[in-house]
Amino acid sequence: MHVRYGAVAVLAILLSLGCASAGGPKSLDADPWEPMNRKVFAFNESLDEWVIGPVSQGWNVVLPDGVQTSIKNFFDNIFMPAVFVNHVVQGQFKEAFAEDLPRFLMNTTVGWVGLFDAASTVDIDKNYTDFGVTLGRWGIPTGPYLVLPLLGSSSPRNVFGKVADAWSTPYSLWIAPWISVTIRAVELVNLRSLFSEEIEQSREESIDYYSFVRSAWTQNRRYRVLEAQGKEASPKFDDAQVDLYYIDAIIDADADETVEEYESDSEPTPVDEKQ
Amino acid sequence: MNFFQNRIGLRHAVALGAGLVASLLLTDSLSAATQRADADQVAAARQVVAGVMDQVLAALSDGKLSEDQRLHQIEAVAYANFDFETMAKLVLARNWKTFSKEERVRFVAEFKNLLARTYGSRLQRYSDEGVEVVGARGELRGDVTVQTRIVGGNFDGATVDYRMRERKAVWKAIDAVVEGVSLVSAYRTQFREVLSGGSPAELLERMSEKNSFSNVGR
Repeated sequence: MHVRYGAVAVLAILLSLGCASAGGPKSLDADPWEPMNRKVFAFNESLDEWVIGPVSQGWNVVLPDGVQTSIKNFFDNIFMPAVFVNHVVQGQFKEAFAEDLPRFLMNTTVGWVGLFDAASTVDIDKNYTDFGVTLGRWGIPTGPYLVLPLLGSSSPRNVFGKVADAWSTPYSLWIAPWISVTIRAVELVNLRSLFSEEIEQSREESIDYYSFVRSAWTQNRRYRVLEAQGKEASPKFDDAQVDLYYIDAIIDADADETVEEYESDSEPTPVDEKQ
Repeated sequence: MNFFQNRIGLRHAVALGAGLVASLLLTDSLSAATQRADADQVAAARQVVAGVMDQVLAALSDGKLSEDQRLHQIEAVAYANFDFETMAKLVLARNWKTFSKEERVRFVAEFKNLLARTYGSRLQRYSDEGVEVVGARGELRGDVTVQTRIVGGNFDGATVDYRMRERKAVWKAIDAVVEGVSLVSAYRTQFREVLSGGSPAELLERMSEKNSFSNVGR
C-alpha cells in the first residue's frame, strides 16, 4: 500500500510540474525536461543494448513466431476490458459494444483465453485506447514530454492513465508484485522480439533518434486523442506549430525563385541514381 | 468646377470599379487556393494510390524475386511516386533558406535515398500482410489524403494515410502518415534539432554517413 501512496505522490508532483510549465509558449515541441529526458533515454538505450535486446534475441531463437504472436494476442486480449471501459467513458459506444466487447468475449472463449485472434477471422476490428487518451478526450492537457526509465516515452497525463488502466487489467495491482513484474517483463521482451527489426531500423535511419522517438510518440498520442474526439485526424502542423504542408510564406519570394530554377536543373537527378 | 468635380468623381468611380474587379479576381483566386480538392481530384488521387499499392503487393507476392530484387522493386515504386523535391522543402521548412544551391541539390539526393530505403525495407518485410485503400478526402488547396489500412500480420489494422499533391499534372505523395505519425513532421523535427546546433554541411555529412552505412548492410 505504501508503494501506491508513493506513486500517487510522485504523480501529483509530476502533474503540478506539468501544469507549471504548461503556461509557457504553446509549442507542442516544448520539451522543458529535455536535458533529463535525454539522460534517461540514453540509459534506456544502453539497457536495451546490453540486456533487453540480447534477451529478446534469445527469446526469438527459442520461441517460434507463432508462439510470440500468441503471447502478444494474450496480452492484447487481457487489456481489452480496459479498452472497452475507456471507449465507454469516451462516448465511443460503437467501438465499445460492437467491437471491443464481442472481440474480448470471442477471443477469450473460441480463441483459447486470448491466445488466438479468432475475432479477426470474422472481421471484428481491433482497437486500442487507454485512460491517457480518455483524459485527453475530455480536455486534460498532456503536459511535457517525459522519458521514464525502462518504460520509455510518456507524459504526466500518460503516467496517470497507465496507473488507472492497471486497475482494470486483471493483473499488476491485484497480485503479488514480483509476479506482476515478471508478467510485464515477459510482455516487454516478447514485444521487443516481435518488433526488433522495426526498432533497429528506426534507430539506424534516424538523424537524431531521441527527437524522432519524441516526435513519433507525441504525434501518435495526439492522433489517438483526436480520434477519440471524433475529429478529422490528419496532421496539420509540426511540433513547433509550423504548417506542415504549406510553407510558401516562410520560404521567402527570393528563395522561391531559386527553388524553381533549381527544380528545372535537377529534374534529371544529378547525384546517385547509380543503385 | 462642377465638371471638374464630376471628372474626379468619374475617375474615382473608375478606380473604385477597377479596384473592385481586381479584388474580386484576387479573392477568387485566393479562394481557389484555399479550396478543398473536389470529388474528381479525390477520385484521381485515390486511383493513383490504389495503383501504387497494387504494384507494391505484386512485388511482395512475386515468389521469383530475391530479397534484393524485391527491395529494389519497391524502392523503384517509391522513387516514382513520392515528390521528393517538395518533401525536401517541407522537411527543411525555414532552414531551406540557409542551404546554398549545391547543398539543396545534395540534400534532395540524400533525402531521396534515405526515404526510398526506409519505405522499401519496411514494406519488404510485410509479405504476409495486405493493404487496402479505405477512403479518401479532399484537403485544403487541392491536396488529397488517401487512407489505407494494413490487413494481417503484426500491424493488423494500422492506418497509413498518403498525402497526395498534384504537380505538373501528376499526383505524387508528399507525406505518409502512419497511425497519426507524419514522416514529414518527424523528419522536420530531427533536421531542426541537428541544424539548431550545426551547419547544413554537417547535416549533409551525417545523412551521407547514414546512407553509406546502410548500403554496406545490403
